[in-house]
Amino acid sequence: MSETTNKTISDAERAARRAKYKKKSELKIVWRQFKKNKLALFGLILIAIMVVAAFAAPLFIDFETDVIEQHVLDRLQGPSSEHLLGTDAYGRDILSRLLWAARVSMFTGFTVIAIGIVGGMILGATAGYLGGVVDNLIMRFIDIFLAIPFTLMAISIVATLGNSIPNLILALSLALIPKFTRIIRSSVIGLKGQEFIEAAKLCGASGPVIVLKHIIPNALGPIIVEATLAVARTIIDIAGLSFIGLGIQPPNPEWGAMLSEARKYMIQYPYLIMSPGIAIILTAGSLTLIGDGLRDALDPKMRN
Amino acid sequence: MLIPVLLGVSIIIYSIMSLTPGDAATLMLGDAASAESVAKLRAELGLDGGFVERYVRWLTGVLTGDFGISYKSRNPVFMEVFQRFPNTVKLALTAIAISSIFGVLFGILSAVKQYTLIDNIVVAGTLLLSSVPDFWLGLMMILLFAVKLKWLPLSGTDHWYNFIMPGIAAASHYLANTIRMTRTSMLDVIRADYVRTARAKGCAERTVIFQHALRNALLPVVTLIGVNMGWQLGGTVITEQVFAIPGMGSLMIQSIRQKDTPVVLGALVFVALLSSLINLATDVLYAYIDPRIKSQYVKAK
Amino acid sequence: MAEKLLEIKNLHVIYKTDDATVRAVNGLNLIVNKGSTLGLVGETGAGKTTTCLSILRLLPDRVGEITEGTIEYNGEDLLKASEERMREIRGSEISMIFQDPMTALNPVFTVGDQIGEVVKLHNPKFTNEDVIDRVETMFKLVGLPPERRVEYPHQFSGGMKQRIVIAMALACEPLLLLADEPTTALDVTIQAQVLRLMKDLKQKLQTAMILVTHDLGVVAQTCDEVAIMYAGEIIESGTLADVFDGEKHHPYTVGLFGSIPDIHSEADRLKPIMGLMPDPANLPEGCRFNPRCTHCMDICKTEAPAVYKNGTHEIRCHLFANQ
Repeated sequence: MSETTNKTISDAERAARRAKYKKKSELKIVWRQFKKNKLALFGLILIAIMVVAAFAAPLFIDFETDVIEQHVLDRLQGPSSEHLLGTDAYGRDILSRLLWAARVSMFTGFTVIAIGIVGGMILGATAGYLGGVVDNLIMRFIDIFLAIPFTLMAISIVATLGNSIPNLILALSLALIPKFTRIIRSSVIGLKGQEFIEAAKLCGASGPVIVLKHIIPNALGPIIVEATLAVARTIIDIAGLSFIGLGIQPPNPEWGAMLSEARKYMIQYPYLIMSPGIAIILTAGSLTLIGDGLRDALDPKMRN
Repeated sequence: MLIPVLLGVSIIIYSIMSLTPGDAATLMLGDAASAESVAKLRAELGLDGGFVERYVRWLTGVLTGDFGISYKSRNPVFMEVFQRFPNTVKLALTAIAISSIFGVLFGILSAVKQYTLIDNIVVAGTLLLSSVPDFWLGLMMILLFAVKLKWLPLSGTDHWYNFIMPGIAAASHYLANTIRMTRTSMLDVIRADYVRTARAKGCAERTVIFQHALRNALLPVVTLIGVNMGWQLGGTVITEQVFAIPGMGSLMIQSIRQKDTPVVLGALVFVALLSSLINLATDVLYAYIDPRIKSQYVKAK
Repeated sequence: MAEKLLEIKNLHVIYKTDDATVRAVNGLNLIVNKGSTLGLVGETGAGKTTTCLSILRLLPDRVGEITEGTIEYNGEDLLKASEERMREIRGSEISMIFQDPMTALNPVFTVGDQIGEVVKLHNPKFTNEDVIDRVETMFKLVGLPPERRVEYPHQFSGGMKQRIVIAMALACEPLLLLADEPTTALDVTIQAQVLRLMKDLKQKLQTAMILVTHDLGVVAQTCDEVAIMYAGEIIESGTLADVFDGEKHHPYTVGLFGSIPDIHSEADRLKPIMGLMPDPANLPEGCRFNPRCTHCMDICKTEAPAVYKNGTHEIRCHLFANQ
């Protein structure tokens, strides 16, 4: 009797170790496959440059003088050697504002995604792992949130609770959580029945431990892909909300808000619209390239 | 199944709106108003009582078609919302038509011509479309087509061509995801065994693609288009602002700024209801066109 | 005397991937006689499916390429025929059925429509009633109730699906049926049923067949002639008696027969053939079997062996070179 138990436990250990080893070499394979995709690499480099630039901005841009202060005499100047991208309607240097706006957008965007993932993981893993009534309840709840078109819900929340960055983050993550819950739930359901989970249970691991240690790491693939794409989408949404005045408030710069300000002058000074727009496109575009590249790299069917 | 969801939606929407700081009656009458007149107005507007009481009152109203009165204009909310409805619908329908029709066409084209220049162009275009904010696209289109080339009007809603630019702008994101899904679906299906069987039977390539492959590939696309329709209804808000279209979206934003809660509530519920109905219709349609799902229901007979 | 229906001469097929060129078929020679069943035997990766696909020119579009050889059928070289002519032949003169019945049928069309499609394609003058008639006849022929032609594939079991596939392939009474491991994906009991069905139909309709399989038992039951394939070429061929009972054999054949577990003998271990099939992107010089051959001689490593003929029995091996 004890002999068979011992054998079973070491089988279970072996299975768990196999799963862990599989994960480490999986990462290497995924990275190698990702590298083959030139566009995705380009996206990665681009976003890296932007993140570095955004981080480094305070080093050579002073918030007060460059970003906020208005210099009426310098207003509405086209690109020049002093102001590489020109000045806006209040005489502020567009390039400085762009870089500063990058910080705000990226920070907000990543925070929203982080909350979305954590919330989605909690709900999705619970629903997927426990199944039954709990699953049903959570999914009905999710359905309710999904029934309200995203933009409208975000607008209502921000409008009601007030225009601040935390509220903005709340509104956007509320809209994002249902999506991640769905994804994580299906991954969990798929993984639940696999052998290494049986093995872990035999080792005596409890529910939450199993979920955290074994299921989540293996479900990370689709999550990371969706998260990357979601950051792109969120940054665009932040710009949209700021455009109609409900996102990031002036004088804090934000790409969408800059576009909104530029509207009055756009016919005579079209360059005012170009730069913020291109900034958004580059950010969202590179993130999308990375996300797609990750998706292809993770897809076993695409490996030769 | 639909009812509990809608109920839940109404609760959530109502809860969100009731978090509005400030008292509506005071806002309407101004600070100088006496306490009595404020209390009287509050009773009139149905603002007294606890949360549940107010919610039930509001809900019964909604179910009988009474969405309440606008704080600002004192008109029935239903009227205000309904007045704006046609414009939003025209915009949303244009956008859906553009995103669905062109989405499917380009998706098929790209999949059938995989690895060629056309495929690469479509994929690049799709990437661009999904990275571009729809309002920026709208602004650029205005600059190019209305100001520079003078082909299309700047604003207004009288003619069908007024809706071309807004339609394209609103459709952009959904066009991208429709192309993507159609392309992926087609690519999967083209590699399927039953497509090989069709060729082995001697079918012409055109039959293989447009009958055997497409019929299967379009199934998930139908679901996507249904979902898009629901989202599109709410997604016209920003586009309406860019092109100054007096639709439900701009009504909502206006009312938010004016703290005219009943109108906001009314518009929200209206859109949520519509989008749920559309989702339901999509599910029904899907069950009809996929024999595997259909037989689940037919067997139950 | 047997009458030739199809003759493949010196067929070479490659697959071009990003990393390498895979030589799937290397100088294949094969003859199929009218009304006869040829068992094409070999391990996975030997090139059997590729050979069948090449006959009908159904290789995957950009990846597969026939680089050399001729396939003579009824006086024409199929490899030179127009695409239009090939479409005429597919499904009506030469049909193919594939391994996995679960995915071979289109899920959104009724099975009756799918069989009807091949009938209508090759009999354009048929009226709708004619087509339905033929469909129902085929249903009865494969042992399925004709009323079920209005149902969808997912409503049938695996074995029944394969019968439908067979019905579809034989609906236009082809002269040659290419059957690529038609029973491998089925349960053993269903396997027996389907094989019996195919044998019956073959007799009734006088259809010739190339039956691709790796199961020698199936070959013994259903085939008249046998060809053993290794690394893209035929290394032994002949009548059933030649290959199963004959005295001389290719070492690979010996290995194949030897590795079948014998229910009557006592053994602790199975006797597999040592080594693995060569990587088709990197084939060995000389005789392709030489790394695994127990009788390997020096000449085997450098020179490709010629064919030794004994009546209908052919063996491609240096062992029999001077006979």
